[in-house]
Amino acid sequence: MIGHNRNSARVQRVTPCGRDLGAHQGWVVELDGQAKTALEVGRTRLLVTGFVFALAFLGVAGRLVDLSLFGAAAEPARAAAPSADELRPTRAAILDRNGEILATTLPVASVYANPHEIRDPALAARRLAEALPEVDAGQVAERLAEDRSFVWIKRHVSPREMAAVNRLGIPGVRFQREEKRVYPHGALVSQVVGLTDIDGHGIAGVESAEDGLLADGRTPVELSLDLRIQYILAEELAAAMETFSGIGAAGLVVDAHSGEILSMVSLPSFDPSDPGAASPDARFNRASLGVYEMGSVFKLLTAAMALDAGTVRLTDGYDVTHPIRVGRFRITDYHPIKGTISVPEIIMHSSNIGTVHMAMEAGTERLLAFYDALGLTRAARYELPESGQPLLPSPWREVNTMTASYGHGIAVSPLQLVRAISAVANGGELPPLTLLRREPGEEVATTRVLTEETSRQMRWLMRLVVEKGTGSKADAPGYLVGGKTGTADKLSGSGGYARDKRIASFVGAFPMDDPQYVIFAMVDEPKGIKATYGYATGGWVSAPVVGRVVERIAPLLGIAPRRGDDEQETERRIVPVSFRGIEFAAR
Amino acid sequence: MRWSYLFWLVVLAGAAATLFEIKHEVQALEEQLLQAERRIRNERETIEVLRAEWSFLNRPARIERLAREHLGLVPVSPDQIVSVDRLPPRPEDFDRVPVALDSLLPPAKPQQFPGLAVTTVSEAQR
Repeated sequence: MIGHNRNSARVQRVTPCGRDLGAHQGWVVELDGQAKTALEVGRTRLLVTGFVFALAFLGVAGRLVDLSLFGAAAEPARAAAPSADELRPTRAAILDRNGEILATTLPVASVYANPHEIRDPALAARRLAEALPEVDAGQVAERLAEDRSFVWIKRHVSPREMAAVNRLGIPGVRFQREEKRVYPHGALVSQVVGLTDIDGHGIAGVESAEDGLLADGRTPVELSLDLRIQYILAEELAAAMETFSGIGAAGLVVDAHSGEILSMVSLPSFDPSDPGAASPDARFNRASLGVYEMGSVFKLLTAAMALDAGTVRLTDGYDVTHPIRVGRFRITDYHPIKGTISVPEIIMHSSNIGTVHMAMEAGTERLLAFYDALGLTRAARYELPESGQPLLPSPWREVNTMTASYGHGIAVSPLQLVRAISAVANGGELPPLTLLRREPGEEVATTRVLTEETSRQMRWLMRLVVEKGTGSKADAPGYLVGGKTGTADKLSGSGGYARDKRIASFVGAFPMDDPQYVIFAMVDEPKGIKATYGYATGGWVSAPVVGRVVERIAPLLGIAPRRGDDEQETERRIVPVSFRGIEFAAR
Repeated sequence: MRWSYLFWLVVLAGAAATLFEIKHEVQALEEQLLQAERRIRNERETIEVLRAEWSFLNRPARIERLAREHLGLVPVSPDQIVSVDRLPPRPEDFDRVPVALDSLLPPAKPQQFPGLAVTTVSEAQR
């Protein structure tokens, strides 16, 4: 026994052999307080530690049993470690409003070789040249003989070429996965969609304007463009451009209520897969960037302003017998008319003199305020940076009011014009233009620029132009097309107007009882032909384009033609009450 | 005492073996997963390529040419579009056979054509 109670009575102790311990308890090991406490503490510590470890091991063992025996049903999904490819997202696609792919990024193989691994460069080069059509055997042989470990053979090969090279089985020749931006519809939408550079950054068009969204790679960008309408407009404009030997053409189809651009065409166009070969003229977007004096089309805006301001009524008229003199300047009509004609006739027969009278009565201040409200004094704002800055005379004199009223002396882009005409035809609300698809029924932030009544009167005037006036070739039976022709001389380099160079345009809307879409067509420098008796005006050149386009796109847009009795019924609804039953003579 | 040693030794060996077995299985599954993911990625790329090709084949110029050459289709003219309510009212004997054969056949009744929705003349005019 080790340790004893000091205060215990003396007890006889013996050794295991039986020997008597004697008086002094020789076996007894006495501990004094310090050693004893230390030992006690150590023993306690050992016990506690042992207890803790036992608990820990019990826990581990228990969990092990739990995991292996009872399954791992509640385990969270395995987090996938991102590979190098996934870390860089693929550029998103660009679609049209119906989901057709306008631009997309595809994986493409590029052929490279390690010259150190090529045993016979000449033979390898010969066989590679057989498999890859555009590769020169001599050049490749040179490259393969170099003392490098990486040389390109050919970049961006097609799957067939890749299979052919693979079949050769030349050691040292390998493929590198690269990405290529592909434009399935090429020149048809190239000016809107744009281009990317070698690193995949957008450098023009939507590719550049929405670069952030596209680089994100999450969702494709849906444009408001309708590929079918784009094709139809481009085809008709190209035909007109060829017939009249124009140097260019532009066209727009816009939703009059939502401001969505369904089609934007500028000819000549360029092939996005070979942008270097395109001329600057082909890269120039005439529909958005070009600014032109629009000519007689502006008469609609002058009439709208005067009617809305109340300075003139539809039943009023002006004497247009005598030309207007301003300094050494004379304003005449293309087809002079004698006598007093009413406002509808002024628009129908496109009288400059009558329009100037209307503008002067309304006043310069009103005209400028109206142009400002319609957005004609600043470049049209939409997603792309390509938007032409309008040219306005500065300072603005009275003579400018006169010329601007019939569209001369002020140059605007077709985008601005189409937006202004949308407001005139759709009930008086100016829509914001956009190239991105809007959900049907989405709220659009419009500004009111005209009253509904004025818009209704303007619709009738526009319909008159096509029904009986200068725009008769724009009529598509049953679709109630309305609009205005415009023929304006181009400015010559040496100041003043060029005699034989003009812009022939037509802006129209349909169906005129409830206009949904505005169409603009323009041919740059058309020349008269025999069939048009030498004329190359808006009515002969551009109005037929609009008429044919309306006939082809109306079924696509779900607009039914008004036939027979319906047609007469809707015609009646367009004509204002005070004019019903009055027949206008076409001069 | 020795038996308990043996027992625990066996248990230890068994635990180690099970551990290695499970680890091996997990590795094999991970390998399979990676392969499946690689295959999915390849398929997705192929789908994207095919979508681009489909869009290319749907070029309006090409479709127009094919429609004209093989189907003889031309752009629809407004005369060809008419709404149902503009059709003239149906004559009473529209779906009856000619008079000469009338005696041979039973009279035409709406019940003979179960799939057809029949409206009376007055409904069509509404």
